[in-house]
Amino acid sequence: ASEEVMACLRQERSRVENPSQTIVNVVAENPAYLHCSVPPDAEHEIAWTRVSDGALLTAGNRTFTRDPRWQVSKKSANIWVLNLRRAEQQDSGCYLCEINDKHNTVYAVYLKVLEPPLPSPSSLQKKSTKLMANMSGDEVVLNCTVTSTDKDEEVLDVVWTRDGNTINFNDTEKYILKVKRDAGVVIETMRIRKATMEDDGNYACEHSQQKASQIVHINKAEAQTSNSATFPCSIFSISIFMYFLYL
Amino acid sequence: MCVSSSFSFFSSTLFPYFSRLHLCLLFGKWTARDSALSGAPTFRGRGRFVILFHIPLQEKMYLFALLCGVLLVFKQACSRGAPPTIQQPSMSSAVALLGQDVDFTCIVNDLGSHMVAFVKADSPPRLLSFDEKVFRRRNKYELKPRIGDLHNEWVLTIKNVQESDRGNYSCQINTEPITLSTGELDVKVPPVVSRSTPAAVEVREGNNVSLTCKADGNPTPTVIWRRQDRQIIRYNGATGFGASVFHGPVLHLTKVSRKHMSEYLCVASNGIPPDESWTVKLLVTFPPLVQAQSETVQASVGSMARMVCTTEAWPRPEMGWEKDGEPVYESNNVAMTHTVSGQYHSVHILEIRNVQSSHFGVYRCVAKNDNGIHHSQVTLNQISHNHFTNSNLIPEGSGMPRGYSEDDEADEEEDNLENQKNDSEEEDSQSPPQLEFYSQARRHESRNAPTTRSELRAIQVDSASFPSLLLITIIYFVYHGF
Repeated sequence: ASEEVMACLRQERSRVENPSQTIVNVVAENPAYLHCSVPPDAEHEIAWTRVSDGALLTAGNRTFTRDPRWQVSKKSANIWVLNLRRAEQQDSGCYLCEINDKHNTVYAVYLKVLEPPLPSPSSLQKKSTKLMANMSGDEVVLNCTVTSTDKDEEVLDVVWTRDGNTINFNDTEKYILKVKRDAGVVIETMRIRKATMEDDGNYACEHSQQKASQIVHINKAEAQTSNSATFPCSIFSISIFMYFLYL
Repeated sequence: MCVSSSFSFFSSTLFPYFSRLHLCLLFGKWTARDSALSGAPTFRGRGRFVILFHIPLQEKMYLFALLCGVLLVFKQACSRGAPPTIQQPSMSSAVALLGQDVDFTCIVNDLGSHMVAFVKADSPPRLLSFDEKVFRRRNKYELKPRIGDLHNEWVLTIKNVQESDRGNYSCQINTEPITLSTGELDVKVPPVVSRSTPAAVEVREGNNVSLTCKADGNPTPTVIWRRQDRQIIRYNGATGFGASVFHGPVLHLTKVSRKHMSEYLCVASNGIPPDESWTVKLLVTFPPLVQAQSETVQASVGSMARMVCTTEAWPRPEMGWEKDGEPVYESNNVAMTHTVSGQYHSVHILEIRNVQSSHFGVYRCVAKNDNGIHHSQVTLNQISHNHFTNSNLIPEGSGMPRGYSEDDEADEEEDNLENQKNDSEEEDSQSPPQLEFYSQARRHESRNAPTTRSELRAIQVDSASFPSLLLITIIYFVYHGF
């Protein structure tokens, strides 16, 4: 495996060392972010290529591949981010970032997708806290599941934090919280309305020394794709039909 | 997703849309007539009929037809089309000369909303163009998208081809998995003789020598050697086996002789004009060899005496005459002459115009160069009075000195005192730099008639949509009846 990583990094062609992270480790089913740094004050474009099959993924600010999991965004003036939503095992491999400068600079990033850790039998007897993130339209949905096998103990409230700071739920226009309680299981759902890039951060829910966290990253391309994806054809057809009836 | 697909559908297949619109117009007219008939009982449903009465029939028909068209187009757009395919021959392998322009053509059928990219398949791979945009070096790569009769040809032009452009080029479509077609570009290069090949080689007689002529090019050039004076190249010594032309970049000679001294010409050729040649001058150094034409010269007091020596030496020797161990200098009565009669042959003459008693004795002809020194001896004797009388009786011409040896005559050749210039000139193998501006080719606005396959697909699509259209018509009729 290390030879594969070295073979990947040997494909770099640059005059300076790659300032970005060259090896990205991510657990399966989680998003992955591959960074590429371009010289500042230069209007260069980049292109991401997957080495395993030579497929072009993105070029400039456009996505070339039709796999919707791949998106590209510009994080700052000179950093481009290749975003892979829901990484899978076969996504492991070498990814190249080409810059169309006069030196034909190429940076290499090796993506390593790890298997999700299996729950050990001993942890089944303990309390567990899980946090899952989803995207629904322009909202971010965070589900926190607290499980306790000790039925006698009453479950206390769950504390939500973002980047270590407690979330203020009085701002009902931004955050909506729902709680479901059952025997030994509490499910709290937090919705972030009209999510933008300002809502990026490390969200966590904590209960009785048990903490689960999830990194949330939002880009415009993803938001637009989600909006267009949730527009079913049937609604459009029904609208036309209703308009026709009122003619 | 469906919206973008719909847009692509509009732009890619415009003709079937017209066919569908025509069908909607036909049904629209039929519905209008039915509406006119149902308008007769005007007193039932008073309020509703007032609203309907104010809308003109033509406008209603137009709106209905428009909605039919939009509905049908959208329904077709939501259904998934056939995946694009690359039609062969695409990306045919190309062979180019230095400085030429090369085209790679990719023929894509049913592209739809997919995109085409051109990639140079190196390690790492290089993206050249994606969709309708050139990614790098816009003065070298040019892209012509959607050309040809069916607007399905994508042509990538590589301008001013160099050796570094050699390799594989791929046309890629963003299907899942990707669709690829690869072609190879080979660049032909005329032969170029390496400038590290020496122009002159000096070797001592008896040693071995190798003349090397390195030539590069594509294809790999073949090299031949020949002597400039068209004589045979002998590979082993002065009398060994030889040939007039030697094939190969390295000409190896063993036991070099002075007869090998010549200009050697190497010619590199690989079928791509122009051929290139290079001249190597082979100099064989050896010590001098002096030989007197006559060991004894007879003269009487008051007469003229002449002593002649011939010399072989390289480098050219310093010549001198000595008498009794002391050098002889030119004066009013003594003259010396040197004549070069070949590359390494020379003739030296010492002439005494008025012989005196002090001139009689033993003379030496001395030659000296870096490799050695050699001399030959000539004796000037006095003729007595009695002998003088006898010599007058001998016929004229019988006392001529001995001529050149047969070998010397065979090796006699003209010697160019001036150094010959090298025949081969450095040629500018690259084209002069050109100032070019890149402008993307415009898309063709005019479109030709579609093929039979497209028409067939249009008919099938229309027939598939007929039930929904009939349903709408029935509902409309029921509504007006109500």
